[in-house]
Amino acid sequence: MNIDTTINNLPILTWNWLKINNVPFSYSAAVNAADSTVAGTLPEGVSYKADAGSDTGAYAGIATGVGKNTDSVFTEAKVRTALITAKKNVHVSAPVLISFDQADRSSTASAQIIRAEEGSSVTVIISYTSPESASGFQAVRTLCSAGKNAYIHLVKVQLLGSSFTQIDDTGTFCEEGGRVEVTQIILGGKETYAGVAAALPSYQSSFKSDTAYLCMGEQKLDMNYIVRHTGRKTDCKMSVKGTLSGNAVKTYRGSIDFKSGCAGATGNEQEETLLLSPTVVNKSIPLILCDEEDVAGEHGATIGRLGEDTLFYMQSRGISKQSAEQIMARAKVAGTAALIPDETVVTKINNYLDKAFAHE
Amino acid sequence: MSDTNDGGKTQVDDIDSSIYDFRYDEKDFYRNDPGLTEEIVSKLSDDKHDPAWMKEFRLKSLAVYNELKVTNWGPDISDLHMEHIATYVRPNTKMQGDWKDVPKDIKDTFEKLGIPEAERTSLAGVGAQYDSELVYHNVRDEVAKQGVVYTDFESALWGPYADMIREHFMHLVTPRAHKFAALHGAVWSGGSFVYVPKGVHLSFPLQSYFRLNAKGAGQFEHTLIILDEGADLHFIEGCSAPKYNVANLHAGCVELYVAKNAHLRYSTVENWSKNMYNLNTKRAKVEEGGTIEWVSGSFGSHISYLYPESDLVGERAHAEFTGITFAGSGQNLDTGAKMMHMAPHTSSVITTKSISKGGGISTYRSAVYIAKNAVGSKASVSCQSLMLDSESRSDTIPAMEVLTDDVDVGHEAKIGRISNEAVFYLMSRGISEEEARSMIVSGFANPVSKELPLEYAVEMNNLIRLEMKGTL
Repeated sequence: MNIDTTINNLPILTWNWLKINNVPFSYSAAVNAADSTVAGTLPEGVSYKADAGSDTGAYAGIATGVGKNTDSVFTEAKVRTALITAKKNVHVSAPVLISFDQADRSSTASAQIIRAEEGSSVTVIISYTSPESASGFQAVRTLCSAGKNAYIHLVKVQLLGSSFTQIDDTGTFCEEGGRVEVTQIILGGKETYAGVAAALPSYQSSFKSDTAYLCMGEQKLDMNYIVRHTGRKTDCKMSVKGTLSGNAVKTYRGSIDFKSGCAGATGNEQEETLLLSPTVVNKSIPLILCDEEDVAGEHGATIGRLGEDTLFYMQSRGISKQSAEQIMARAKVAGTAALIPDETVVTKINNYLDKAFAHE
Repeated sequence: MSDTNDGGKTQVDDIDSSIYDFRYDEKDFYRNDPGLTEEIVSKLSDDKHDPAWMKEFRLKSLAVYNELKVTNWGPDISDLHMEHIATYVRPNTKMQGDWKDVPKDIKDTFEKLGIPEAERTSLAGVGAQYDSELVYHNVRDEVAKQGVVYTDFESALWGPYADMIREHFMHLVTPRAHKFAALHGAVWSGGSFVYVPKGVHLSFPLQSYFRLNAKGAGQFEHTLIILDEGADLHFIEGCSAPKYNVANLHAGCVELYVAKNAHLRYSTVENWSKNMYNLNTKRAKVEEGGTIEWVSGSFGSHISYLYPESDLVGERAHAEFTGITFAGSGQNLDTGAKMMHMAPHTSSVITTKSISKGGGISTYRSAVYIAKNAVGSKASVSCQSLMLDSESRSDTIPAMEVLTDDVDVGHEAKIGRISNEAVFYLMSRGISEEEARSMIVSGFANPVSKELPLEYAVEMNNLIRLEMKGTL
């Protein structure tokens, strides 16, 4: 496969010198399809098809955050898209677990469609792991479709090896009263390109995302989140928290797009970035696009290092500066990890953090 | 006025009652051929008796203009055709130092705009430009005696400050900055040069007023202000034009040099007519301990691209940008600011308000850049947008790039409409709905208007009141 393109495109352009309108992406190597296999027993009320086949057509219109420019990665690898369906009016209590344990020097692509039928609810946890210093490439695309008054909680946990490149692409769609929540933890990999696009075309549909990351050493993280409100009284909340240290480079694009007709819509976006090294690079661009009068949108961002008051307080309790910084970096991840309803996955996250901080 | 009822709101037509929409004939004026060729630029340079270096600079800028492309972001300017724009229109007068000597039509224009009266009451000096050239320039004796230089740009090119001009002219805003900066370098004319010596504080502002009367023409004035160490100046810039049914172009350039511990406030109330393409470029360089304060009101123009840039190159340099944009029917105003922190312990504050109404498009666009060496720097951005109807549009595009950890960067933005509860409260006190909405918008704009000189604040509130008429 040969791909040389731009991904994570902003919905509206700004100064080119900022190099934030999109990110160039190129990859040249064979990519193999990897199935999205459910770990353990499939919870009651959930159906699973390893290959959605022609059913994928019904979801082709769902836009994703990374964008269409990576379509060829999935088509050329001949990816089989798994279809996970929560049946009508069933509240699935146990999460559906999908684990990708990547081998060193592997290069794979996978795709899933998560569908919650009317009145149902389901949590799907997708985790990505590999040996600690493994290299490789992984592309994942997940589409979520929440039916009328249905609820999907999608959790994505990235704990890949230190030389991995990952594209994690997500698109969501909600019918009337439907809601999708995306909880995303990004700790591993050398280069991660994460994108989420949420469509809220229906009355009182809603979207919430909580993202936490830790970027250390030479890691690069590029994110693109877009919520498009077209339905009346739709609501979105986006939260992105993380820490940069070493020579880490992070870009965050977050867009709330109030389209004409979305009267009564509300949107809120918050970003917190903790900077722990003088050689980090942080880029942020939180957009609000508004084509409708009757809306309320807001965003806020705080970027900086640990506050002197906080540091002084912790040092006065005998905590070293380095420990204090690690505590705060861990807290940013822990707050988001607490939203994950699976202790095993949370433990994996904590173990990963322990190792990451031990190497500092 | 129509009294149709649509969705519970009474629709009233917009009122075209702008005090700026009057015009006079171009009797005996000189106007160059429309378009942009090497011949036109050469002739312009010859007509203006440029020094040789300036003629060479113009021609090089033209080459850059032809080489650069229009940006791929921002409002669409494909209806702006340079081949139809006259880049130089010279009024039938020389620059005067006494209003009595200014031709009647031109003098009447500035009388209507209140410039001579403002000069008498509250200004240290005034420059008045009509089309491409200054027609009046004067500075109070007591100000001149302090060594303050405030003169038209053409005179300055040949005067005792010629070398200073050459050292600074388009060094901050280079022709390569963008296509319309290159255009400015090729065809600039008019504008002012200000030099404030070390330690001199002006207690009254200087003001330049730019009036573009000519149809289908461009105005390309250049403003260069140099503040020496510890100096203090408030400079006010005003601009307006009558409305025509063809495109006019304003591609001015402002370059501000603020030396160590100097303080410059640069206030602008822009009220170009709604056929104007306002592609203006402003940039300030601030040395150690210096301060630049931008106060900006953007009300006019068909399309605006305007983002004053502050380069904080000295330790503890500080910049503030306080701006309001009011985009009404037929307007697409893309405004904001750039803050470039390039030295330790620098600080910047951006506070903006934007209002969209009647199908107008308002875009707030900004960049906060903190370089690797700018440790201990602080930046704060606050932008608020008010939507007055669903035909309008308002976008917020703030970018932040931080290359070090020892910083404190905060950003907040809000977008929404006039609160029904607030309107209801005011109406319950006997205030009409239209007046209540107008009061709320004025209150929304207040943090900006209070930063303007009083007469401009009054003018801004009047403009808001005029613009708000007919919104119900």
